[in-house]
Amino acid sequence: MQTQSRHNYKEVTLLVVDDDDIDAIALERALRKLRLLNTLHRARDGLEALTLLRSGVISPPYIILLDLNMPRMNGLEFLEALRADPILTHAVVFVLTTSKSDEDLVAAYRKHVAGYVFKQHMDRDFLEVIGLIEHYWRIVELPVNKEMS
Amino acid sequence: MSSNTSDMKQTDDRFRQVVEAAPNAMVMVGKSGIIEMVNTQAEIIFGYRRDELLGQSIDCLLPERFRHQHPHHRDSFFSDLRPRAMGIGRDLFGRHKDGSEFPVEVGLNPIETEDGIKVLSAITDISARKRMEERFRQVVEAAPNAMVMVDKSGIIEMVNTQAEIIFGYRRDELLGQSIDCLLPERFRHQHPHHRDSFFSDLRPRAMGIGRDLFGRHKDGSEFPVEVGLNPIETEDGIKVLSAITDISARVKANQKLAEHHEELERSNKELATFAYVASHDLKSPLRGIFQISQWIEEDLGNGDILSIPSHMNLLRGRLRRMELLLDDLLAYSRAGRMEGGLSQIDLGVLAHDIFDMQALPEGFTLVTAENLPTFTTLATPLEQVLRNLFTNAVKHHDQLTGRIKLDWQLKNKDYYEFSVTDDGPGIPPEYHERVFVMFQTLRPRDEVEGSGMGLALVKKIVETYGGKTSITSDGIRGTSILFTWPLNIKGRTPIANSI
Repeated sequence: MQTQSRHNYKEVTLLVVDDDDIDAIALERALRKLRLLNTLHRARDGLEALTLLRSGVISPPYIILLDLNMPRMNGLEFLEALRADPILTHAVVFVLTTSKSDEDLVAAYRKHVAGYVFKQHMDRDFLEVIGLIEHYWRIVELPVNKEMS
Repeated sequence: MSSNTSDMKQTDDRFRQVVEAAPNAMVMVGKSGIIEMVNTQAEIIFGYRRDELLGQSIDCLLPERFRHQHPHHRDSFFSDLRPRAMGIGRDLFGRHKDGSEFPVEVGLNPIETEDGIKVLSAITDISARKRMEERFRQVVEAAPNAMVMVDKSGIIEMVNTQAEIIFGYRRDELLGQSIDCLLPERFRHQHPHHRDSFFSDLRPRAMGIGRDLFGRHKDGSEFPVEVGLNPIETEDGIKVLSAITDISARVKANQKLAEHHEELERSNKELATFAYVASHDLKSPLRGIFQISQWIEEDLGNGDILSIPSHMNLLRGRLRRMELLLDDLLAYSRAGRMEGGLSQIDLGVLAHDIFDMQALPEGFTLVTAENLPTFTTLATPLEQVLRNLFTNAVKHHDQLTGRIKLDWQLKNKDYYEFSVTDDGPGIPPEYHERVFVMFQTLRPRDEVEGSGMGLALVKKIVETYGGKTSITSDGIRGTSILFTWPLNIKGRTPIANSI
């Protein structure tokens, strides 16, 4: 039974787009703590993330965890580029940010993000977020880009 | 014959009745000035009974000071017989029986009778009208703004004291002159046309709606005015009474208000940015520090001591970042306020001093253009700008050695343009705007420690003194940051505290 259910879903790849090393390490630690072995990729800004995605290094299905405040190309600009890309437009994105601004929130949902998570508390956040995302990928069918491209 | 006589008598009676019924005083005199007929109106306005006047000289109805000239005037009338008004251009006065005088208008008509030529004078007491005119003059004089009355051809007929004050002319310098002397020369040629169109459509209105109007002072200076136009009907025809208000003070106040408004908007925008930044950029190192402290606890609990030094390193990095952010925020908020005093600087010397004081890595050198200007300016903000540009150029350099050049040119008659050029990695054109925004960095802070305030600070200082910043770079090699700086700087009093 157990082996059966394991094969029912494909292991999801995570792409963290965040310029802050600490947030990236925190996500890694949260995955480890929950004993999840998903592949974790890291980009430091929107441009790096686009390059990674377009290079095909990141195997679908994947979920993008996106920070908003970043150098060069920020989160909202990244979403803009993502949705304009015929292949990447299907990507599932969760915004993880310290920005409480309503404008940012509305703008992010306008770009069809799956969720806008506010990093308010200093602790527990990443555990909860990773927990949420783990449930999400076990239950939700994710697009598999390869077939579309 | 007898019927002829009675006919004549009938005509005479009818003439007497007409004279009696006339609405104004009528007095008929013979060639020697003896009164032969008067009507009731004449009795009323002069206060004599009819029998007191008949047979007397007309002189008794004149103020004494005019009597000696009267026979002369009368003779000249008889020598050129035609109906006309008496004493055109002079003020005429009648004399009442009680000795008082009153202004009159007199019409003269020669009448042929069988006794020879007589003069029938129609005399109107114009005291009431004169009183009205005087009252009108007083109202005009008492008006709080300048009043100028002109006739149809634009000749000034009346002005009040306010008009003398705001235009700087004495009353006698204005009366009889064309209104054009109160206009700046460049508007004069259009004025007759505007005046004609006003006379063709007579109604009170404001002059030149939608245009800026200016008055011209005697000393040649101009000032903004508002003008109201009113047509006035007088016996001499239509006049225009203009009410002129000097609105210099209002215009100045409006300008000031607009400036304050702009300044406030800018400072509000800064505040909004600051709030955003405080919630993100200042909070994120705090969150980091908190997180690292947890990791240390966790890893110690698991006996993983080896990870501790790297955690500590990260932790200290965050603390330093926090300090830097706060320092730079403070500097930013003070930009344009800490200006120190004016001093004469030799920019070449100053630039090298600043560069050397920064304790920059050894491989970097500053090259300054020859003949950098020596001028008097606010040294403190200029130093701040150069310091930030120098450290920025070095911090973002991708090599161990580099050359930074300070160059200049005279941009226009008011501004120098200075440029700080490096031979670093360059900034792609699409980021040129962003680099001047507060807290924007082009590389993650974990790679290059920086607050993202440097260029925002430069921009703010430069703009405080009316200058502009710009950037040129092909994004491959080298960046020039250009800024303009006034030749003659004026210290300014900030009206709104920024941040």
